Amino acid sequence: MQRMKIKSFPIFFSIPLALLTGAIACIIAADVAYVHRSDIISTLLSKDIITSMLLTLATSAVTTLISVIIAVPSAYALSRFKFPGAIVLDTLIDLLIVVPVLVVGVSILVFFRMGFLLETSRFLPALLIGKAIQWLGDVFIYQRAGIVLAQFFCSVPFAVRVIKSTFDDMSPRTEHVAQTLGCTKWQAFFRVSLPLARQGIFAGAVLAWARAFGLFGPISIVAGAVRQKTEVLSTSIFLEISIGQLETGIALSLLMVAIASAILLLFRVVSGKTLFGGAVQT
Amino acid sequence: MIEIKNLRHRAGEFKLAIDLTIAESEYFVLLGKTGCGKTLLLECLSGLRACDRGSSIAINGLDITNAEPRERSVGYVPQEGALFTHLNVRENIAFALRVAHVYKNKIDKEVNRFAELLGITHLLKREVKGLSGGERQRVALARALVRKPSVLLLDEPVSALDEGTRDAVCRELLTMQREMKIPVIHVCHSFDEAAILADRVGIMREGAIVQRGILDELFDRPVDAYVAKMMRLDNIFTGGLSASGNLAVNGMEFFTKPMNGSRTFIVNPRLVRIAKNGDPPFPAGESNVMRGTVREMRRRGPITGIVVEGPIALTLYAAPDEVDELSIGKGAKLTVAFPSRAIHMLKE
Repeated sequence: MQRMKIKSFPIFFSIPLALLTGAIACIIAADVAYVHRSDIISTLLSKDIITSMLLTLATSAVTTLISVIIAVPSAYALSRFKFPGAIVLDTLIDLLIVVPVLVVGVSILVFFRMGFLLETSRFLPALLIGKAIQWLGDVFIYQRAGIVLAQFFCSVPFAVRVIKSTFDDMSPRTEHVAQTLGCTKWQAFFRVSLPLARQGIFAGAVLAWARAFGLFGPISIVAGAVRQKTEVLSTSIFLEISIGQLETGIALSLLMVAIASAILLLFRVVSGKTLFGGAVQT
Repeated sequence: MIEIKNLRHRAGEFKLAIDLTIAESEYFVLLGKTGCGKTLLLECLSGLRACDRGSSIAINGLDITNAEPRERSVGYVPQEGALFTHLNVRENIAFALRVAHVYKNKIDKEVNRFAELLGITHLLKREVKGLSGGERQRVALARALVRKPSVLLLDEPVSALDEGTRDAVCRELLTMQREMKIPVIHVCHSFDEAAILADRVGIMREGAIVQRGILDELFDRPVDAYVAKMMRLDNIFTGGLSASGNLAVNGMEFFTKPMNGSRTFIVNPRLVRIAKNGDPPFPAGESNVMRGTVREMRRRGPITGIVVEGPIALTLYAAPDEVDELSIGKGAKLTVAFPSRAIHMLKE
């Protein structure tokens, strides 16, 4: 009888993968098992939750758009230009990834608090800056714009990182050739570099969106959690659980899981790649 | 015609200093080792790097020293082609014409013409990602040529290709250049490419051209050991002085004396002969004779390079008929001789 050969090499690597994905599936399955269908339906029909969901989708979309608009030129500059202090700027962007997001929220709040302090100054420029900061504070603090501001600071570094690595991987020679073929530097950027980087930009946008979509701490610090005004899905979950409405909180969690899964799947279908560049396994 | 006068460019510690004139319809091959400044020179000529003050570049009498790359009428093909992977082959070739807002009918006509010239008509609908190395280079060439540049700059266009493809692309390059009648500067580090393509060759070292001329001139009379090595000459020796004041290596005396203090010289392998029946083939008193053993035989196209090991290892070229006639093989004992004019002194 022929002995069956056990392939130990792939099994060794597959076990951690199976454990990891199994654990993720278990915690989602626990949510699904815990909550009743009636809880999900009543949650989805709640006016507060509908407002919260729409606000989450709208703010995260606006944040993603602003993040990409800022991240593309920033990433290009960091990738292509050599200038003194580039390493400092690069580190500053990484700092936003490394520090706890609550620190970002607190720092934004403190920055606008500076407006009050500067406004009392006798030095005219400081006084004017103080007034401007205070005016901006009125625009952002405990307002919907504050949600976008908090999301932006926490999302944009991820977009910059991914898009910069895309530009790093692209040879500047393609742009050089475009210039010798009649393009200005602007045309070479828009006709060659930008289209070549489109997958990286798309991946950066999805990462920025994912970060903005699930953000909680800095939003509650900068914009508060006012029902029907500045409440996003993540704050809704916190609020529901804090008042003992566990079922509603779990139903909201499942809603967020569903939306996030749909967006990630859409990205993979459209780009044919995973968020971090690897090809999708079929 | 390209006139490069006093071209200077500094990149960190590296300095580029070039004076060069290339005639209309001339195929000029610039040979040099990696890091000698070949690519830097092409980038200066194409306007991708600014030249230092005092530099001058003129194409057909028009000064383009400070012109933008797009204003220079220079076709530039970098290493590996740098094709635009978001466009297909047709779109790549049409790129320059689209940027110039040429009518679609004319674009199609020109793209088809250059695709035909380079034998890539069947690739026009293909994506760039699936192309082989040779196909990529042909597409890159067509893309550069469709703009009808006044000069073509090629940065190691065939160095990444296998031998068969390389020779085929080289033949196409020559056909294209003869048809379009434009000057070409082709930089590479392969002697074979220069041998196939060049009207004239320049040897570049540390940012400067150390010698230029037709290939035979450089082969027969290299100025120094670097040029000799670029010409794939093996017979480079540094000698001591014999009792009679002649140069000597490992006890073998050569009928030549040191020149300007230099004791380094080459022995031209084309002038080294096998002495049949032991008789030196050159007049007595002029013949440098060596007896040795065949160590190595290398077939180089229609000739065979034979390395004979005696007091020195001497390479000579022989026709296949001669090799067969004398039944030469590895380990065979041979007497070889060369006249004094085969010895060429090098600068140290």
